[in-house]
Amino acid sequence: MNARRQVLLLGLLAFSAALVTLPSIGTTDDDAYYQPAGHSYVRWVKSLVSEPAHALSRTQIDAHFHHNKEHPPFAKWLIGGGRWLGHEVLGVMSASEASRLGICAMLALAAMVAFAFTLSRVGALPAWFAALSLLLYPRFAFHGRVPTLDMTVAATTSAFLLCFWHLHRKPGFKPLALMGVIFGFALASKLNAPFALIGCGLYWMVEQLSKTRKDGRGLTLPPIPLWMLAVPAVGFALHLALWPHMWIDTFARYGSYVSFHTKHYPIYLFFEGQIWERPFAPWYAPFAYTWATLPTLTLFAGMVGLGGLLSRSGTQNEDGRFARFLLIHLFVSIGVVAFSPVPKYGGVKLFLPFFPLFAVAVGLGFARLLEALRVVGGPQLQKVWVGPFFALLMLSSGGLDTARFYGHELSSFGQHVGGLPGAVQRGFERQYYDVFDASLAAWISEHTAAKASIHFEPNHKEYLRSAPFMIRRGLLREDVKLSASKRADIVILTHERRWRSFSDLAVELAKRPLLHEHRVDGVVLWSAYGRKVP
Amino acid sequence: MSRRIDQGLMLGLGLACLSAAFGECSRRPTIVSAEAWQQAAQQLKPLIKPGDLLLLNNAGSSQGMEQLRAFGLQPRVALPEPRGRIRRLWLLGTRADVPAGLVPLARQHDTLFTLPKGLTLSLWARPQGEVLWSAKNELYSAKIRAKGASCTQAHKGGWRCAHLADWMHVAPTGLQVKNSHKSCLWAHPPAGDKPLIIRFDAVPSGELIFEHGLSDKAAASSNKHPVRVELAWQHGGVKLQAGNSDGWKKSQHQVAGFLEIKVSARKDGQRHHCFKASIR
Repeated sequence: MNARRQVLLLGLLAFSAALVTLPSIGTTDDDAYYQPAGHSYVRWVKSLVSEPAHALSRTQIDAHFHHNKEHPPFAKWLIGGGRWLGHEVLGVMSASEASRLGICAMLALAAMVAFAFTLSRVGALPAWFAALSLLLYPRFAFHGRVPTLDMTVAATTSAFLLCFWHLHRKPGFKPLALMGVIFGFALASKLNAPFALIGCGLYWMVEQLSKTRKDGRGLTLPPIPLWMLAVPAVGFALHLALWPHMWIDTFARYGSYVSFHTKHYPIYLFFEGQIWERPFAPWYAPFAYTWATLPTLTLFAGMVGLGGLLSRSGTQNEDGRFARFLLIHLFVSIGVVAFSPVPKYGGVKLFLPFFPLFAVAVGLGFARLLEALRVVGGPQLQKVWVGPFFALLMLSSGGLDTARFYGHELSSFGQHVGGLPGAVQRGFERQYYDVFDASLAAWISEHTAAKASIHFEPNHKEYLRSAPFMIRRGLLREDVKLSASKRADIVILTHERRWRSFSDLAVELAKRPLLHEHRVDGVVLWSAYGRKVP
Repeated sequence: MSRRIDQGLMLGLGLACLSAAFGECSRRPTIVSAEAWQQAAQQLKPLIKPGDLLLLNNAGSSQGMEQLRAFGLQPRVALPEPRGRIRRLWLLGTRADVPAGLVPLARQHDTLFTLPKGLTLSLWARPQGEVLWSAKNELYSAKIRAKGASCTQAHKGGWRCAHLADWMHVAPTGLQVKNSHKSCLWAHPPAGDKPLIIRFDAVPSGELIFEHGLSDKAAASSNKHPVRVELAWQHGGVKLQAGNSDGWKKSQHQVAGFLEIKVSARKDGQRHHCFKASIR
């Protein structure tokens, strides 16, 4: 099978797997922002088709694009587009479920990019390994099935980097335009996209410095390449074109968008057994989360791959250039969260663009390990089946984690930290994002009386917003009422320790009869309490 | 050399597989019988003093909770916040390793009595003189009011009074006082001789160390009216003031229950007032 067909097959498989497993994925506290925004954007397009002049009026643009105007639009276009296609046109799924279609496509795109990058370096088997290890990283796969911005920016920035790697040295207008367009989609996905271009600039600088050093010319400023001007210009233009909110009072609105993110409000993170708000969690928190949450053998293959990249990074051939390119982008994608004064929260979601690139290192590491296995194992291990068999063995830790944390992906931790129980002892958050998960909805639907009132602690307000989506997805009974009062029939305590009130709430609620504890990997994720017996 | 590297990689892979296998085994919860938990509870109960806390150390599992409660104990599944409330902490559970986040508690005893198999117990206590509570760390829970309205707008790690001028906020800052840098909480008195009220509903009992003063810039201004500070706590209180020539003042008080800090000045111009409060 040729490379193009393999990439398409991988994309199709990844998208189908994401689609089939959608009902197991809960509703995050971001759904209530992005789903209505996406729906509103698509409604505007419909009105643009039927009444263009009316749709292009300032009032109509503002009416449709004021939703979630603090974030760029591309992921919301995908969310709205998925809803339109899956729910309105095909009618095969609920609106809320269909809103995830575009994001599932982004998950498939991210896997395809990891595949394509690896394929060009070490061949088909490591490329499949890279892509599958990415899909079998439970947290990454989770973000690829929820209607939020993170997977979109991860997929589009990695796609831009792939495109940049192959095209930035090619002459002509087309490569520049293509790079610019893909960068535009990344820029229109989330605020961390520009850092991919900064990484490209760093790479170019490193290459120029090593070239001038080699030539014995000392430090000289080389001519600025055309891509450095064209890519941001085309990208920025597309970013604005995709965002009608910015068509009006462009300077003022763009200024307030940037200013919103430079003064981001603090969000709690439970890390090392402490609650971090301000000061933000320490710089190494993103690295620690990456280390702790990746499946063990995936992490090991990745470390071998990184070692190989580091050892080649000093050479002046294509391998050396690729090593420098990947290492710089790996560092930039995680370093931008680790080393900048921004709140670090949400496990790995803020630096999701790191993982498709890390998957490439995983693929390279796998290729190196297979080579070593064949050398050490001698002639018996030269057979064709050894490679795929070894790949399956190496994918087993990701497979085990995916099965164990199915439906609770944000609680996944690798075997090397002792899974979720080991992570709890090490002071990591056992779950986050206030996910109204499918198991919780199923328990409520099956075990509560008609018209039962439910109250959530410690953060009721997020469940209040996500419950209607769970009802529309058919996962939560319609008659269930969410109550702001603790005097509700059922109180659900989600064990999210970043809330300062959690410990006292657990003591207070223990006075009520415990109806159920939901455990994953032996760890309680939520407890349900009934009414106090008079 | 290359063969050595290959062998090293295979060794590394073997270790990674072992680590995964060990992780698989260690994550399995140790199941301890209800009788064992009851026995532990019975032995532990007479040792627990009023104010002591008991933390279940089961790596997220709640086993034993019911049996401990049946003996009148109140086990917790997480450390309470603010952690200044923790004077002595008993750690009981199936895990031998200590959960992260116990800093600055120090281990006191391990084996006070023979525990049933599968359970471990240790006693932790806060070293003498440790800070139990600080206004800076607990500012998130403070109720702040000025000129008849609450100040609830998040601002630089503190709170701003959205209905008043921008400088009406309580937040961490740094000021020069008598040419020395002070990291403290900005608490400027409002105009019109009205008080800025900062209230902490629950503080641990102990010695309050209150420090405050005016910035050098404020001290050099023409406004000679001192900033008045009234501290109130359960069954007690004190009136303090910081004038232009006072520099950085420090006082100690025995407090309990709650802590309320009222900051006012007859004239509010250039009253760059800042304070630090901690309880030991």
